[in-house]
This record gives sequence, C-alpha cells and structure tokens, in this order.
Amino acid sequence: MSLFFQSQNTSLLWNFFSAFMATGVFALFFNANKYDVLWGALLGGIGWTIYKWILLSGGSILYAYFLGAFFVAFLSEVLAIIIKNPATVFLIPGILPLVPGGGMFFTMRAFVSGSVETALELGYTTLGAAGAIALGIAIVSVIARVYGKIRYSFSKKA
Amino acid sequence: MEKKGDANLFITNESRLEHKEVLAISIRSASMILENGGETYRAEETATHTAISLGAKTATAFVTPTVVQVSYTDSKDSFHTAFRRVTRREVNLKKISRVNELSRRLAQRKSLAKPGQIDFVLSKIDTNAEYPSWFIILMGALSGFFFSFMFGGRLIDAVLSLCMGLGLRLFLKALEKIQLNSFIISLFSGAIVSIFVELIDFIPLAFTQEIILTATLMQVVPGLALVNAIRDLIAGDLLSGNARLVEAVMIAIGLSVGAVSGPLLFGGFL
Repeated sequence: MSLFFQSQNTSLLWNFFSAFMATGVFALFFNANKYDVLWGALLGGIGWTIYKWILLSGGSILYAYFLGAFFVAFLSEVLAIIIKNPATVFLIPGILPLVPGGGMFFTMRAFVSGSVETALELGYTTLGAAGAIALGIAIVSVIARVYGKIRYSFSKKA
Repeated sequence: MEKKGDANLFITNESRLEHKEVLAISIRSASMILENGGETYRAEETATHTAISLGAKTATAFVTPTVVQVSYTDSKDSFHTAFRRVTRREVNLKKISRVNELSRRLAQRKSLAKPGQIDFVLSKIDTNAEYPSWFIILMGALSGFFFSFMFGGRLIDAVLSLCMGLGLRLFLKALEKIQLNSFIISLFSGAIVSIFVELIDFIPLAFTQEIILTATLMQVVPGLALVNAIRDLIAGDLLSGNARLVEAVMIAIGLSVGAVSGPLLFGGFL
C-alpha cells in the first residue's frame, strides 16, 4: 500500500520510460502499425526526455519545448526516409507528450475564477509552448523539403 | 499539385466507364488519406499518382480539409473532373501508411495499372486496418495511466486517470453515432473531465488533481491538427494550413470553455 502513495522516482530514465509507454499506447489508439508503434514511442520518449532534461538543467521552458519538438520532428523525417513511411505516422504520436493540453485548461479556469494574473501567465506560457512546438516542426519540415528537392533534382540529371 | 504522365501510357481506347473508374479510384485514395488524418499535400500527391498510373495524360488535384477535387486530361486533351465532400474524420495511421505505400508503388511503376487491382487493394486496406473498438477504447484510457506517471504522478493518480479516461472514451464512443464536429466534441470532453475531477474530489485519498486532469486531457488535445497545420503551411498549402490551424485553436477553445463547467456546477467560484 505504501507504493500506492509514495512519490514516484523522477529520474530522467523514469521520465523516458513513462513517456515511451504513454506514446506507444497512444499510437495504438491511433491505429498505428505494430512496428510504427515502437518507433513512435521511442520518439515520444526522446522528445519528452529532452524537454525534461533542459528544464532540470535550468533552461527556459520555451527552449525546452522547441528543442523537444525539433528532435522529434527531425528523427521522424529521418525514419521516414529509412523506413519509407510518411513522417506523420511517427510525428503525430511522438509530438503528443509535448502538447500543452493542461495549460489551456488551467488558463481558462484561472480566468473564470478571477485570478487574472495567473491566467495571463499561464496563457502566455501555453501560447508560447504551442508556438515553440510549431517552430520546431516547421524548421524540420523546411529542411526535409529542401533535402527532398535537392535529391529529386540530382536523381533527375543522373 | 499537377503531374504529367508518360506519353506511351495514356488511355487509348476511351470509354465512359474508364473515365468514371479513374476519377472514382483517385478520389477514393485521396479521401482515404484525408479522412484518416493525413496531410492535404499527401492526399493531392496520392490522387495525381493514382490518376497518372491509370493512364491520365495530366492530372491535377485540389484538396482542402473538407473536399477532394481531381481533374485529369485524357489522350484527346479533354478534361474530366469530379469532387467529393469529406465529412468522416478519424485517425488511422495504418491506413495512411498503407495508402502512401500504394501511391509510392504506383508512381514507380512503368506500366499502366488496372482499375480493379487498385480498387481491390484500397478495399483491403479499408477493411483490414482497424483494431477492435474495445481495444482502442482501452488504449485511450491506458494512455492517461502512463501520462500521469509522465507528469510526475503516483500510482493513485494513474489509476484515477485510467478510470476517468475510460469514462471519457466511453462517452465519446456514444457520441460518435451522431457525428459532431471537433469543436463540440472537445467542448463536451472538457466538460466531462472537469466534472469528473470535481466528483473524485469527494474521495478521501491523497492525489494531485492537476496531474489527473492533465493526463486525462492528453487524449483530446489538438496535437494532430497542430502538426498537420504546420506541415501543410510549409508545403505551401496556405488554405488547408490555415483551416487546420483554426481547427487546432477551436479545439483548444472548446476544451477550455468546457473546463469551466465543473467548477460552475459544483460552486467552485463562490
């Protein structure tokens, strides 16, 4: 019974494991293939671990969101080239741990309960997080697109 | 997205039936990508690849999040066009990757494909690619279990989040029959989760309300809409990208407005 109430281990390894499992289960919820589930889960674990690692080492939260999303998107594009599957199949589950779902919820609650300062702070963080994630994905998409175009034009000449 | 076909492979013996089949099959493949959570540019690529491999001279597709339009020219340069409104919306990554594989193979192949063949493969993908619904509901609920560990919760938080996730999933499954849009669904989800959280407040156990709430909500956050919006915007589909971005914002607004209903019902703001 003591395990039931004990505070969990908050090491990076535990963070990785729980994010891995959560993302894997969620990929199954999204009807992914058996092998794609494994890769998506790995990306989710890596993204969340990077986010957590930056936070623990004292970095800014928006930078943590950005770098987590960047790595998830980058690895999913690499996997897409290797496994020849659309990058979204890995990206959609992999990015999920980073999406600030709780942020929007608590922002609205704080607004309605009258604590405007908390609401504004939460709202800015949430919007910033969404923007940082978007930026991470966008930069990787641009890189992937440029790489694809270059490869296509070279293969045409040959 | 426009593409030119190989000059040797255009449809030569024109018959009305064949035009119908080319359009029907390319629209079907594109809408399968769109309905299951793929990006719009991928749907356009799939439609053009399919039409070209069936013998079109040039093929163009215009896809937005709600409609698929395909137009192609035959060997006599006359146009054939059809469009289909897409209303069904779910997420099935397996179908996306299978249809994408089919379109990749069609793009690489040197000879004309038979319409019946592609139609058969698409039907097979459509029927074979789903897990049973109890499994999906269970997985959705189980994700809350692991998400609450991820947010630093303890076992009690995880178990409560699992129960709440199961309740939310069953409720959404019941709503599936009347086909609501994503805004209303997220509004209901936010309301359900916030009411559940107020209810479990009566259980005399030491748990963290915030963690349970956040972990359960992860099931309905607009992650997919956000990812697709950005990928469409970068691909140059400004219209679809904007529509998807608005969808993500609408889901977020729905969740937060729904979130207020719990405290309102239980007098949290008194």
